[in-house]
Amino acid sequence: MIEPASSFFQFFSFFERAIIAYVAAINAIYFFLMVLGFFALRRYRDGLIPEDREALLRSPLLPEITIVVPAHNEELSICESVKALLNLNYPKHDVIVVNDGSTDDTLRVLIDNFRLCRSAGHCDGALPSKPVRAIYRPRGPIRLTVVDKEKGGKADALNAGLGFARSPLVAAVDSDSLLEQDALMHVVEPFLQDPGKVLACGGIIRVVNGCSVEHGKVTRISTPRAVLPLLQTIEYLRAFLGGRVAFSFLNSLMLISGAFGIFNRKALIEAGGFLSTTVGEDMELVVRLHRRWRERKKNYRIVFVPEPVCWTEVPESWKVLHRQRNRWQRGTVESLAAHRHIILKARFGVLGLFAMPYFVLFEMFGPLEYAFLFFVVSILFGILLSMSAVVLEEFTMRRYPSVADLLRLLAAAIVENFGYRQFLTVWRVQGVWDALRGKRGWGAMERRGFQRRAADRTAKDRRRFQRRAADRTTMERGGFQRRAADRTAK
Amino acid sequence: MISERTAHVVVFAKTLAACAAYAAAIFLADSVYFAKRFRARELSIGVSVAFVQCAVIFCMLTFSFLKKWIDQVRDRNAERLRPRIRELLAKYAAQSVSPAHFIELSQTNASAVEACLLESLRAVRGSGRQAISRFAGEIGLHLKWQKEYGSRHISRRKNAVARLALLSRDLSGDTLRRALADPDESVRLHTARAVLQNCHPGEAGQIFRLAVEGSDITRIILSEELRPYILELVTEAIPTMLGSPDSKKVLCTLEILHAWGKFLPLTGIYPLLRNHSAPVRAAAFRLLALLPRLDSLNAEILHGVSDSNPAVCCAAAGAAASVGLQAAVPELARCLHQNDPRTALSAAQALARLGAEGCRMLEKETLNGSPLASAVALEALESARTSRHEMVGAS
Repeated sequence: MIEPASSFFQFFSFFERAIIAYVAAINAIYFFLMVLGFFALRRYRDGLIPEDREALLRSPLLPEITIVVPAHNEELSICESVKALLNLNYPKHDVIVVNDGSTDDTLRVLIDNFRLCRSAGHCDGALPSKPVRAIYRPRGPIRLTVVDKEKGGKADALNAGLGFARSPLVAAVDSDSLLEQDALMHVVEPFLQDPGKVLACGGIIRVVNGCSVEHGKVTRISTPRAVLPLLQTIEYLRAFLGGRVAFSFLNSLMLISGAFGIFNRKALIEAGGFLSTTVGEDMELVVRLHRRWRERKKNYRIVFVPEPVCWTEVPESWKVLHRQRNRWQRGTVESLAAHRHIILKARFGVLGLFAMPYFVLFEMFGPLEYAFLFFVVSILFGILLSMSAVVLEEFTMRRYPSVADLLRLLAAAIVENFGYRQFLTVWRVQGVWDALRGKRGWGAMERRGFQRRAADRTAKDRRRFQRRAADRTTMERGGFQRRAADRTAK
Repeated sequence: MISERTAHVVVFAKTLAACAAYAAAIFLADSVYFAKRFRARELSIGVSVAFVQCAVIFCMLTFSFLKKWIDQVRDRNAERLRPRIRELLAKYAAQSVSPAHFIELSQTNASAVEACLLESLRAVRGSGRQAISRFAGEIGLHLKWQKEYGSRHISRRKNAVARLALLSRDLSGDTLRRALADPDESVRLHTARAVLQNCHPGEAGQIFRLAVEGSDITRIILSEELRPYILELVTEAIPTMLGSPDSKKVLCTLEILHAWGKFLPLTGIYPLLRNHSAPVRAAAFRLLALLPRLDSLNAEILHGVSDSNPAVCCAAAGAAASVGLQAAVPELARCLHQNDPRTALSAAQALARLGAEGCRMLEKETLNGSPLASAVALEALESARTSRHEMVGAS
């Protein structure tokens, strides 16, 4: 009897230690990344000053940038977005909107607002995409191209847009994102500091909920009033200022947000463009770039600029948030699974030995592990406590004489932890909330009464006997009748 | 220049030092206090971690609040004194007050005097500025800034050189010369910009050299700042760089000249059309439109259009269009059939700019050419039409 209990407690002790080790590891890594991010940020702050940027903006030596905007059913917002992109504070940029098989009036809105007409355009066909139906350009000097193509998803639309881009740098922007006026200037800096080496660059994405927006520009910055966007604001801050600066410093940045990222066009085409079979095309591309360049042993950088460059709208309902996070997590899992061979391979450097394992352990399985560990721990503790109570009852009071009752109680001690206790917790939290709100009264309570329960039992027993008797009679009668019928037939 | 590698090592060293200090603090808190209070080892370590983390956050917040508060108080005090200091400075610049009035004030309210003095140095020119600069020397500000330049913090060094550049060169010259060769490129850039605000003869050439030898970002910024000194540079600094055996320097010089977009009396560029380095050849062809015309140039351009390097071919096609070289039409038409889409597109655009004959060739290609040739020809014809519309609209 002692051995199983001892092994159970040994397992439990091991489990406890594993949890402590996990929590300690994740906190140590977060702390390390935070400190590294702090010093890297300070180093970044010693770079250019606003006057330098003004001088840069005046220069014709700045590289041209093509902004590719995939749009699917965006008739309500596309016009404002394109106007804002065309008015960005950068001397040499053009915009390519890829209408990805919209079923609404996205294309019509663009044609009407920018006076577009059908045009000739040469796609270099470097990346495969769904067939292009037509190309539209404005009559005037506006540097806008609209590519109308069959529906193929965001990645496919970006690939199609890349075929029409002529600039050495290409920015991928979501049509519902708003860029800061100097966003292009900020993200182009690493390409100038390390020409030829920088493959991609991204910046801080901020939450636009709660801010005032006029003509595609954020005119007043404010925190969201609603709770859910406010929580996401904190989450975005932590994600962008904590981890990404440090990972960028280690040249192991695994994600450049799909909302806004800028890429070296040549490198992007060499890597094969965006992958349309995954929902996390942004992360997959960045990991693929890392992988290809490290495999070729080339010197390269993928950079994160700690400057606010893009504003995005975050979900305000739990349902949409749930859908978004589900998609993100699927994207992470798909990207990591696709490049699993990098993990713990020394030739991939910090990426293989630290960044990928970190993402697998804490980002991919993190939620699962956390949820699983907490669930298992709470269940185990719950079962232990309930069983202890039963054991205590048995050792002291012994009010339940039969073994069947004892076994039933032990079974209940296990079962009650799956659902019942969770419901109780929810109701208790509700009770606290109601108490804080000052709710009074008992509430309707249905009591059946002890006597009635006994009467019920008697009546139930009587009914059960009657039913059984009736069933038996019917069966017997049925049997007799069937047998009689069989006999007649014979 | 401090290499990127060294900067990385420094940041890593700081990070590791901070992590080690944090671990030491946890160990200390655990062994001195918590281990005695809690019997379970895990619990005592956990509580120590939580305690140290809370203490660090609390200290950092307190420090930042205190710093903000002190700065505000100091600013408020300085704001009260500023009108009087400004008045005295104006009088001093006009030489109607003796420096003795200031000496005492600068000793009691050094930061306010310094801020006002900087403000005046930026706003005033000529003899007034020289007088204020002299006064800064008298109260020893130039020594303070020179000392600040010795700091290992990049931002402090930058601030120091920005201030020193406002003073007369006899007070700041040596430090500025050292700052132009600072190990950190951003400090060099900052110094160069500061020096150009108040440039002395010979300094523009030195800064041009810095622009050519620096990173892309330095070159782009300094090329804009050097615009007012083009004529001075054309005489010596630019020809020297164009004659350099280092093709990278030559290429950078050509890029700067291209950025200026001015007509330049330079002859040193023509030999570069046959340079061994393809990027140099391409950059030289891009500059042809800004140079005096020579008869031999047509043959050079035709030679460039048939160059095996696509970048040179594209640049030569652009040059042919810029100088209106009709003789290049057959060669450009041949380029339309090359496999490289960029070369084909450049050739098509050059043909579209070459007037009726070029457009006729493009129309023929749209009907009979290969898919690539007809696509690029159509695109070029359309862009030519759009630019004609724009020109009509502008006129």
